[in-house]
Parts: sequence; structure tokens; C-alpha cells
Amino acid sequence: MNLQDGRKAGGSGAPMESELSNWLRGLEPGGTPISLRLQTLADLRRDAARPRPRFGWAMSAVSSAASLGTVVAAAGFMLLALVLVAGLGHTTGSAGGVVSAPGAGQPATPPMDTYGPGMNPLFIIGLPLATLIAAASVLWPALRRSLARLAFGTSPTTPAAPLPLPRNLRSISRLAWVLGAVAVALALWLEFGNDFGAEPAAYRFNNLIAPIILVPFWVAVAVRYPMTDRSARLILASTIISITIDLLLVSITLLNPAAIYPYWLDLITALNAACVVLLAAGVAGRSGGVRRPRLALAVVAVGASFVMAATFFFWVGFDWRDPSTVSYAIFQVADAWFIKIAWLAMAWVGWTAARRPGAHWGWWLVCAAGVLTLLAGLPQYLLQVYSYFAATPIDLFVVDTPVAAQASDQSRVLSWASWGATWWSVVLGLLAMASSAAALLSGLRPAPDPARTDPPTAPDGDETAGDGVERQPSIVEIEAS
Amino acid sequence: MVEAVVADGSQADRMLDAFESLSDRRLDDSYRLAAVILRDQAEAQDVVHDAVLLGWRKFGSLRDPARFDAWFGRIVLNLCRDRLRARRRGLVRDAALVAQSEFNRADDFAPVARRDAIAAAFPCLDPDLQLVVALRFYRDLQLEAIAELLGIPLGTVKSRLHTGLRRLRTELERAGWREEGEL
Repeated sequence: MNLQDGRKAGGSGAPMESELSNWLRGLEPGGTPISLRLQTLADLRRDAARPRPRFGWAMSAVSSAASLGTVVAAAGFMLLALVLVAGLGHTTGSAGGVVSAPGAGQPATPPMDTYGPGMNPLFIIGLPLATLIAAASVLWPALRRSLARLAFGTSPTTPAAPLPLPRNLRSISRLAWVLGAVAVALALWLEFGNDFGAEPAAYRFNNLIAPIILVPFWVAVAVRYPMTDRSARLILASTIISITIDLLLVSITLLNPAAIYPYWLDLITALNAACVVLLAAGVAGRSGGVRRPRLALAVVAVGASFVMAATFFFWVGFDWRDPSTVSYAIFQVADAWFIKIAWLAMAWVGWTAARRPGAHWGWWLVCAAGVLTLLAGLPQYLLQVYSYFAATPIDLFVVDTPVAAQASDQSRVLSWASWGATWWSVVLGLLAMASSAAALLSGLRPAPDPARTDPPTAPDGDETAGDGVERQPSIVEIEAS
Repeated sequence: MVEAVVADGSQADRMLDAFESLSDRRLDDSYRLAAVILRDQAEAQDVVHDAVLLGWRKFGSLRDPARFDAWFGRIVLNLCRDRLRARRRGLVRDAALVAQSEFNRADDFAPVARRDAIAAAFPCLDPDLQLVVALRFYRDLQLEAIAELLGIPLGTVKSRLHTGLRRLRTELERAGWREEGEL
């Protein structure tokens, strides 16, 4: 029987493993050539004696900045291309992918004629150019190195001293700190330095400020999980998509704060489902494997998430006879359903992994993120169902409009309820995002599974590994010494 | 102690002294590991040399000086992996070249034949698999230590080790290898 460490039961192992071990040990050289030590240390001294570049500290930031620039430029370029090609004539509802109900008394949506960065020639030329430069510098390391040499000189950098911060804070790169400061400054400027008119505060907070604040977190996550294995690649892909979507929303809001989101943007934001699914898969892979839930529990959870996602069909005045409306609703329901299932899975993974003895505390944050996300949409779901059966048209998302003020008393009450539900959703959603970001920033480590027995180890005092060969110290022991 | 040395060395020369001391301590071990993984002592010397210079240039990115050994070991392993990948372009699958009758002979040459077969089959593994198998069966590292050293999840280590051994066994069986009980 094969154990988890690749050795077979029985102590000495099977012939192949035994021969493999002996063969590998036979490859070990007798000793380190003295010339290697002398040459290496001499080259090290020679390398260190080279003149120090003036902006050496920025060398490491070039690659990260180029990567981030690619994302920003790609998002802007995509926006520009879609704006120019798609036309912008069709608008539907408000943010969050909710379509306007025909005849439901919704306020008229503003025209999109004023919506368009295409009016600015600099924007048209600058974005593709920036995209090309950034993409080229990312795709071709030789070009990036050449640009860095041109900018900072030909000498290698002298390493900087570690930041004088606690260990946990030191894990966040300098670039992330700078980006975070810029993002917070930008958010404060947007909040206090601009007039957003009748834009509801919940929208502004959710769609503009929150993504800006979370961008540096995602960047730090991307920096913290290099592409060395599948789970890290999944997390990284998820963060890149998240950054792109966030920056796209920010760009659109900045370009025209009063605009209602166009139809195609709902399709793009549907990528959130892919983002969350990828994140859940990456986190699950990083947990080191968790036990599956019982079938009945899984069926109930998936069914409940579908019922919640199907809120869209409860929209008052939903026109079942219109094929385009129905197909759009099915798309939205599927999108919301996949997202809820992914968060359910993350909650389960976090809960299961966190309860293992010696588990990393970040798994509790994963669990909290999943639970908070599922709770965030609950009040709106209940209100939506209530309004459907009570036949009382309410606007669940825009509450500070004249329509709400002129409505009947019952509608006014419901409007205030929806106001609370909106803020509940926004705040819990933000907490969930912050919780998941903090979990990823903490550096999620696989949780040890007590159910899986470790391979037998040599008893104390016996320095052999069962096959008569002297046991090598593990890396943990090396560090401890 | 290591942390104190580096923290105190705010000047470049002090940092260089600290780095030289730390890397010199890891030189022998790194050379042995690289020689086993690459199966070529000349290439192992190149890797260790490159690792020291690369480590010095990236020394500022070391977040926790107390983890220098793991950090430097990862540099060495990454360089080994790069060389293995470059080497695979010209790989010839010659595991089957070992005569099948050599495996199961009963004289003193049987172990030699078996090791020759392993030597021919081992390069057929992907570089990532070779690293994990070598760390497990040469260093006798626990899976958790391998995961920490390579910076990958424990599950990935398990799957790579399992896949590596399975492929190695397949290559050997294709060449006529049989376990003892099957003789």
C-alpha cells in the first residue's frame, strides 16, 4: 500500500524506491571544490563593488508596475473598444445587473449620448499606446530589462534593508503600500471633492470607493501568491479578473458619474462569477483537501442558493412573454447562482479547514467571507419576494428618488426597508471582500488533516530513516538550528 | 542571530558581509543538492554560482532574514529547474536501451543494472516531478518540508510525488523492470 509520502509500508520500501534512493545518494559529490567557493565569493565581491544606481529601489517595482499598468490599460482599452463598437444606445436598469421592469414605475434612465471617452483624442491614442508598451514590457523580459537599464543604469541594485515593520506588515510589498496610499487618497478626493448629485451614497460607496480601496489588496495578493502551482495560479487569475472588473467600474464611473450602466456592462460584470469560482477553486486547492459535505446537505445548500438567485424572476412586472427579457433573466440567475455556490463552497472549505487542530487562522476569515456574502443578499431576497406577492412596486436599489418620495405610505415603508437592505448588502459585501482579501494576504497555508495518518517515522534516538540511511534534517530543523 | 546581523547591517558593506556569511554557510549543501538534481557537477557549480549572485541582487526582497536558508534553497531549486527544462529539449528516452535480461539477473551486477535503468528513466520525468522526488528520496525531507521549500501546497507535493513515482515505474516496467515479488 502506498502511503502519502510515496514510500511503501513495511519500512525499507519497495525495490524501486530503495534503488532510487541509493542511486540519488550515489550522485552526491565528495566535496565542494575550493575553486567554486573562491570564484563565487570573489564574483560576489566584484558584483557588489559596482557603482550603486541612483534609483535602484525602483528596479523591483518596474515589473510589478508594468503588470499593473497592463491591467489598467487593458481595462481602459476594452472599455474604449466597447464604447466605440457597441454604440451605447441600449441601457438597462441600474448597477448590480438588475433590469428595469417594464411598466413598474421606474424613473426614466438618462440618455447615454454624453457617455463617451471617444470624444477625447488623447484618450483614443494614449490608451492603446500605453497598452502596447505595458504588454510588450510584460511579455518580453528582455525588453523590460532594457527599459530598466535605460532608466536606472547598467549596474545591479544594492538590496535595500527590510522595512522596519512587524513581520506580518513586512510581507506587504512597498509597491502595495504606495498603491494603497494613492487609492485611499483618490477615494477621499472622490468622496469629498466632487459633486455626485443625486447619486445614492450606497452606489457610490459600493461601485466606486470600495473597488479603489480593494485594488491594492488584490495587488498584494497577486504579489503574495506567485505562479508556482495550480492553486496559486487560480487565485492569481481570480485577482487579475477582479482588478480588471473593479478598474473598469471605476473608469466608467469617473468618466460619467451620472450615467446608468449600459447593457453590455452586465455581461462583463458576469465575469465576477468566473472570478469567484476561480477563487473558490484556488482556495479549496490550497486547503490541502477537505472532506466533502453530506449529499443531503449539499443538495439543500445548492437548492437554497438557486432559490435566492432566482429572485430575478420575482421582479414586479416581469414579462415572461418577452424572449429577450427571459433570456437575460436566465443569464443573470445563472450568474448569481454560480457565485452563491462558489461562496458556499468557500464557506465550507474555510469552516472545515479552520476546525482542524493547528490550522491557520486565515481559514476562519475564508469561512466568514463565505457566510457574510450569503447573508448579504438575504434581506433583498425577502423584500423582493414580499413585493412580488404583495404586488407593491418598490425600487430595491434606488431609494432617494422622487418616485419613492411620492409613493404611497406602504411604498414609503418598503422603500426605507429597501434602503436598509441595500446598505446591509453593501456593508456585508464589503466585509466579505475585506475578509477574503485579508485571508489571502495572511498567506493561507494548507491545514493539517488529522484523519490522514502521517508515514511512520524513526523512533527517537534513531537517526536512521528505516532503510539504514542516516536521516537528513528537515528544513524546519535546519531553520531552528 | 541572523536577523540581528542583517538588521544591524544597514550599510551596504555590512549587508554584503552578512549575505556572504549566510550564503557561504549554504554553499556546500546547495552544491550537493544541485549536483544530485542535475546529475552534473559542472552544472551544479554554475547553479550555485548563479544562485549566490542572484541571491545578492534579490537580497532586499527577503522579507524575513530568519528564513534565509529556505529562501536561498528555493533560488537554487528554481535555477536547477530552469536547467532541467532547458535540458529536456534534447532528451532522448533511452530507458528501454537497458537490456531486459539485466534487471533480473542474480549476480552482483543486478543492482548496477537496476541503477542504470533508473538513471535512464529518471530524466524522462518532468523537472517539477524530478525536484520533488529528489528532495524526498535524496534528502528524506518530509512532505511538509518539501512544500515549504518549494513554496507549493502540500497537496501539490503529494500529487507530484505520486505522479513521479508512477511515471518512473511505468518507464521501468516498459523496459522490463519487475518488482521482487513478481519474479
